[in-house]
Amino acid sequence: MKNKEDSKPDEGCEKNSGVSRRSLLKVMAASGVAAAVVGVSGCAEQEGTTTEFACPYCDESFESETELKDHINEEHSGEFEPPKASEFLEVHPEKCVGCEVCVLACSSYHENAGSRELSRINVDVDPLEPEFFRQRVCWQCDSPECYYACPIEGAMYIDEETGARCIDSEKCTGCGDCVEACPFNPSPIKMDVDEKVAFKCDLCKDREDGPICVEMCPRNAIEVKEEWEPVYERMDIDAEELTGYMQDPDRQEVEQ
Amino acid sequence: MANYGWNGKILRVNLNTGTTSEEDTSNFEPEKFIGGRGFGARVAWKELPPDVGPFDPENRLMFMPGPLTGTLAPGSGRCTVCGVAAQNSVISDDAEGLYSWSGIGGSFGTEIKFAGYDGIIIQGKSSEPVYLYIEDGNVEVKSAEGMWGKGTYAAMKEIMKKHGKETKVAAIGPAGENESSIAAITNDSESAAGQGGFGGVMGSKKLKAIAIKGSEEVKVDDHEALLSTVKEINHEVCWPVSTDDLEKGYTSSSYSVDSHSKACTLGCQGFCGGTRSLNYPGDIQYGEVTTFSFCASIGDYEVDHIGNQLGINFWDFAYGIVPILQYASKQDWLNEVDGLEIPAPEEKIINSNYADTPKPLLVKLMRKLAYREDELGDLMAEGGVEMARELWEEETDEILSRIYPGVPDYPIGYTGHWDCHWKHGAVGWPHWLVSSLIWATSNRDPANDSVHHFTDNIALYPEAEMMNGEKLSWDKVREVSERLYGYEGAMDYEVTYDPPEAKASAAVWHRWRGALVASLLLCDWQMPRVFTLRPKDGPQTYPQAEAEMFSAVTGINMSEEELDKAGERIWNLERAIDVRYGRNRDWDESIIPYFEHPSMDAEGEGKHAFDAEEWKKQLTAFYELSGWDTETGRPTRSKLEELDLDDVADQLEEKDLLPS
Repeated sequence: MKNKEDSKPDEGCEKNSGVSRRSLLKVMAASGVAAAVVGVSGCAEQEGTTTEFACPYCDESFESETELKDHINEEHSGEFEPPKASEFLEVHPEKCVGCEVCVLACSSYHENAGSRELSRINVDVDPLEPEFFRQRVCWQCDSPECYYACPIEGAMYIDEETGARCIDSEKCTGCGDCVEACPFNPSPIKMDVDEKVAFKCDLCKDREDGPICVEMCPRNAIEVKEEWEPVYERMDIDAEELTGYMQDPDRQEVEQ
Repeated sequence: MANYGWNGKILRVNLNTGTTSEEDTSNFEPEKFIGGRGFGARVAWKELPPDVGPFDPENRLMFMPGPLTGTLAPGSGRCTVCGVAAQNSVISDDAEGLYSWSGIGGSFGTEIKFAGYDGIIIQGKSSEPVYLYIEDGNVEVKSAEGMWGKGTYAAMKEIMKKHGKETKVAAIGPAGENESSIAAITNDSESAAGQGGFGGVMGSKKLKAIAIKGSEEVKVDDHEALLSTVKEINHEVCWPVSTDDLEKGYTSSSYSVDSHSKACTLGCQGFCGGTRSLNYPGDIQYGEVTTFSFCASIGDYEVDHIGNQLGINFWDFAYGIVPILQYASKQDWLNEVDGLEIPAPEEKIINSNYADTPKPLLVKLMRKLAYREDELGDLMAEGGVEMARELWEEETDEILSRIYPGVPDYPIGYTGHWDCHWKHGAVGWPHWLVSSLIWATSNRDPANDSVHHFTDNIALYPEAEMMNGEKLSWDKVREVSERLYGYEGAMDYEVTYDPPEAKASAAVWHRWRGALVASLLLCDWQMPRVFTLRPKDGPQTYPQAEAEMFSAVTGINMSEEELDKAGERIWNLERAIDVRYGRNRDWDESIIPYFEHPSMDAEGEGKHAFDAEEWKKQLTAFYELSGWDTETGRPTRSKLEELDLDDVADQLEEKDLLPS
């Protein structure tokens, strides 16, 4: 793990020991949303060394993440703004024919490559199980775990106009924290072939005509939505089902 | 050779020894022969002399994608299956089979490219059932024991279970294993190479399946240019559809199933595939399944699906064998099969609607065919013509000539596949004159170039609404006709025989373009864009789309004319292959009796038959426009040399097959 200000590197802790002030702040910004626990993984005690979870808003520190969260919720609620809600892409399964034009158009536009791996949108269909349909494109979550988890200042940022959760490939070091933190599996955030940089859908924010996939889809099956809806409503499933999508400890692939 | 589009290597597998090798794609002259059908013809010319039969180990079974396969281009995910075709095996005493080819959708072609190859050539014959497993350049010949005898669907599932569900599998069913002449190769559950009987060829090699997993990409030279061309055409599906339909999630009425339509292949804008759930009757082993399929609206979906599992080419079964048996029942030659009555058509000589035939009978017949059960099953496995001839000899000439053009001398045509003269895809007189010329010169059924290019367009577009709300109109149709073929009358419903070049010019143009599209390789339903519904200043057509996409992908700049030259070259090479089998003008004219029967219109009434003498003038015009000898119907030396096929001319001359 790189550039974590307060991390204590490699002291027998497999994951990051401690949480950066900045990322904690971002995590806390979303407190109250159940999924917010993801992305803060501490390694509390290591051979006499105690990792302390320091409050970013006062001088107190705590032995566990839960205690810190409780503290922030009690003492500092309302001190920070959640990031702007984003527009997002919605693929309509009833219109999608699985032609993958969006997939290749995306990788053509962004990466100069006709590649599923390098595309920011994937549509998974199974010819032997036609009922199976899974879109893999970033939902631009209102509580963006990826954004909170990113340890590098400015490597993930919120686009001012669209609200898209974006990765600055110049700053990204490819640590993979965002992928880990993403509640979806497989994550729509991908690592490039050399694992040096993460990339994800940015709603083609710099493209005049909007997202290329939306423009190229021969069935008009992809739509840019502006109005926020809970993720499970966007996906047209029950809230309970959504938990099946959330990251589980074993990171088993969860199928729709 | 360019570094884009093509991957640079072609896989060759010798099943005699179980060894594999790679060949440089540049040896196949990709700028001249493109890929797909072009590569197939080139290999056939060099490696498949006329004495190679379909089931000989020396036959090549080729799976050939093209340089555009695996890109954004419309329907690019397809590939062409080529080789000496089993379905042509009744052709003559001199040759046991004819070279031919069949297109296959699904994801198999794409995966060949993603695995790093530009094609697969399989030769030899394994002693034990095997399947090929290819993963990014690693090739293994694996035992298919335990899989042999299973349906296509079951074989695919088993392989996907073993190698991961992202594996793409092309497999044969029992019909292929038993070397039926009308067996199909299937992938992605129901996308099939049906025509040609290549399933039987695969079965003769003891090859149950080919499984591929690839993670490469197809390199594209100019992504922006490719995106721009595809954007121009990608909001028009291959048949006209209103924006309103598109918004609703369009399902074509002719192709709708209980679920919505689906793309069979990468980049598809046609969506003729679909999904459906079926619950089978007890005697079928597959239970309740949901399939992703090409939903040809030719009958009952359950029956279709069972046929797909058994690996049978439906066209010959449904439009050849079944009508012949119905005719036999009417003649009281055969009234029942294993206690199941064969219904006889009441008035018409042919009842083309096989859905009227009871399901249990159809299933019984298909199983007999696939497993070669008893004499009838064994004969059905050889196709409709062979079956009829063996059982009832020349008494069946009448019925056969209504189904198979060319019978009795040259029964090459596969039955009824969208000739537009019989019931299916009837576009009405005189448009099927174009498809008749295409069929006359075909090395397979006419659907390869004629219907999907010419007749579908002429049937669907003239009244279609353009994107500005105006109707396309017949005036615009004539403009398009003039632009593409050089004759207004090619698409004019008032022009029949005069001038002969009018209809012949369209047939020639679609011959060349068809060979090109099946080499690039794109879906022949979507390309060429004979009409465009985007309002334009000039004619409402977009024939340069292929050249634009080819140049964008490969980085080799070719104009529409230059690329059409490649199409013409491939088509002429295929003709030279046919000439080597003895093809001549007589052979081409053998389809005349078929078209002398009145065609059926939408109501099933017979109305139009053609005038043989007038039609022969059109055939002459076809030869002239092709640069062929009008007496023999064979390519001349000057034409072949113009196409850089000097060696082909030399070899034909050696065999005394070159017109003087």
